Amino acid sequence: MSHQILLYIINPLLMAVFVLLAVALLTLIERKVLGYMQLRKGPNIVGPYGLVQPIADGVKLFLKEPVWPSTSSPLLFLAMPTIALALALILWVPMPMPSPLANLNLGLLFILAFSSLAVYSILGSGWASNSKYALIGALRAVAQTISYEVSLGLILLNTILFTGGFTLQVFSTAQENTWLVFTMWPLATMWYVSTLAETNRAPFDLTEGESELVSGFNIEYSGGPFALFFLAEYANIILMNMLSAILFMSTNLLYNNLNNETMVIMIKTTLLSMVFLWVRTSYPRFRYDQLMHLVWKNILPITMAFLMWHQAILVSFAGLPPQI
Amino acid sequence: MNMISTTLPMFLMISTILAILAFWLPSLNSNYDKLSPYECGFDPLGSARLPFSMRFFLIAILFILFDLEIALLLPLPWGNQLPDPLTSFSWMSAVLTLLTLGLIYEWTQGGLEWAE
Amino acid sequence: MSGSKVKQDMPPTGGYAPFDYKRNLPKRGLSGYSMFGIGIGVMLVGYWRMFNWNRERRRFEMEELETRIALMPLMQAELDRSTLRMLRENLEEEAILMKDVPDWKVGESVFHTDRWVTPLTEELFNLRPREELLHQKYGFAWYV
Repeated sequence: MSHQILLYIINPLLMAVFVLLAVALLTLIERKVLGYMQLRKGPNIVGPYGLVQPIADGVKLFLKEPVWPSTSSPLLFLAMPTIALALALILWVPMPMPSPLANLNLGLLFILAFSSLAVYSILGSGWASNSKYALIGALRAVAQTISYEVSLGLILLNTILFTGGFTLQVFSTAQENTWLVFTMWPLATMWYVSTLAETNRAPFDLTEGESELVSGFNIEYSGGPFALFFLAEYANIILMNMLSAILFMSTNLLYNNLNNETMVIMIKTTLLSMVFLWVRTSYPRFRYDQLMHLVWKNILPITMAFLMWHQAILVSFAGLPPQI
Repeated sequence: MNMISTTLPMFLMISTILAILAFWLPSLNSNYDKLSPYECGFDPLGSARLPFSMRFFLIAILFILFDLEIALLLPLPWGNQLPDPLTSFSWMSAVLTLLTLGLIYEWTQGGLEWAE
Repeated sequence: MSGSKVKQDMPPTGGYAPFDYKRNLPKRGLSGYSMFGIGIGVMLVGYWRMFNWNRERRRFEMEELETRIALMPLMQAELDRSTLRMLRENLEEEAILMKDVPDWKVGESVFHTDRWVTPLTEELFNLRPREELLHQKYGFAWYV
């Protein structure tokens, strides 16, 4: 019984705690990177090098008064940030780092399904707020997220044609010889752009276009509920980057030194996240029609063509992976 | 008892606890102005649930179509393990061709244009 | 009046030189076509290595299947042995439990057949720890 408690209670709790800690430090490093790229310092007062800043921010957010607008739908209004954070945490369950919490056979499908569910939390929060800004922000966010989900799914299909399964560990064995970035770098770049859009990051952060929508779907949220949305968003960013690292730059399975592999995959994830921040400092925001044109008129047709091409060459050159 | 069925409720519980904490820790002192919906100085009356955009609705429909296509293509790695992978290839190209035709139709009819 | 002549700043005769506003971008690095070519080349090499590795993986898969086929009789024998041993233990326990019941035939079959009927897993693992039963039932499922 005690080992079951350890396995089923302590283990997931530990993971949740460390995911949330990673999120906190990501917000810190984001502000630091943004600061240094704009020739200023970023947070450096609270603790050494500002290391305790995210803790202070979290405490502040949870001590601020949460506003529960009188016109909102009460239950949905509170349930949506909760569900957003829960979904963001659940997405981490099948991630192989390299030992996953739950060794799912179809882990990639699990991730695909649960990341689609995150749309509901955005739509629900925008609708429940009963404010025009929130509604328009939510509509934009949902349209953007679902559009880019299509391209994400199709690119994923391309990669699984090469690896031969939806199990995330298969990607390690399939890329022992070559990383998939080299095999399909056009798709890898499109995947990266799509993850930027899927996590609503700059330059695709139209959901919170400050100049016209103030803050987008979470405008009515303040204090703790806003913190939940924030945590969910950043947890999703780290997760998406980790997924990119696994899909396109996977690490070999080093069975005699699993800690080493964890380090390697985390370094890759961190580097990809740093590029997210770099992109945020460098590029101006897209216009909404450009955003939609990018996915529907460029990424989607190219990805469909690539799918056909990859299937054709895999079959004709006898390069099909084994069934695992 | 397995991992998924324990972690799902547990993570839901963690975030519920955080949400409850957010309403229990701070002192609540609300008034009418604070609780009114956010508007930049103009009339906060009028329903926020009426606006309906045909464009976004169209995007949602398109998404359903293309996601369905992906769902149809998802068993492809298993289809490739069949004795004759050419069969699965031809079926896949049939599905993809149909969808490409659909996309072309949508494109030429202006369903993908945002700025008019 | 000549002293009061104001010396005014005027442009030099012939006017100023044209502004040098145009950015002077030196042509450096590879041309677009060669970068495109390198990209395609990387993809082709990637395909080639990926296909080689996939074929190698198929060979590994075949080898593993062959190994399993070779080991099959041994595994089957081990399985039969453990099944029979557990069955024997169950019957011995049954004899001890039912020793006071008259006319009780230990191990009497409930089926109208002489053929071998594999006992249910729950029945077989009745005297074993629960973990062993769970492992027997779910142990080889990858997913949890």
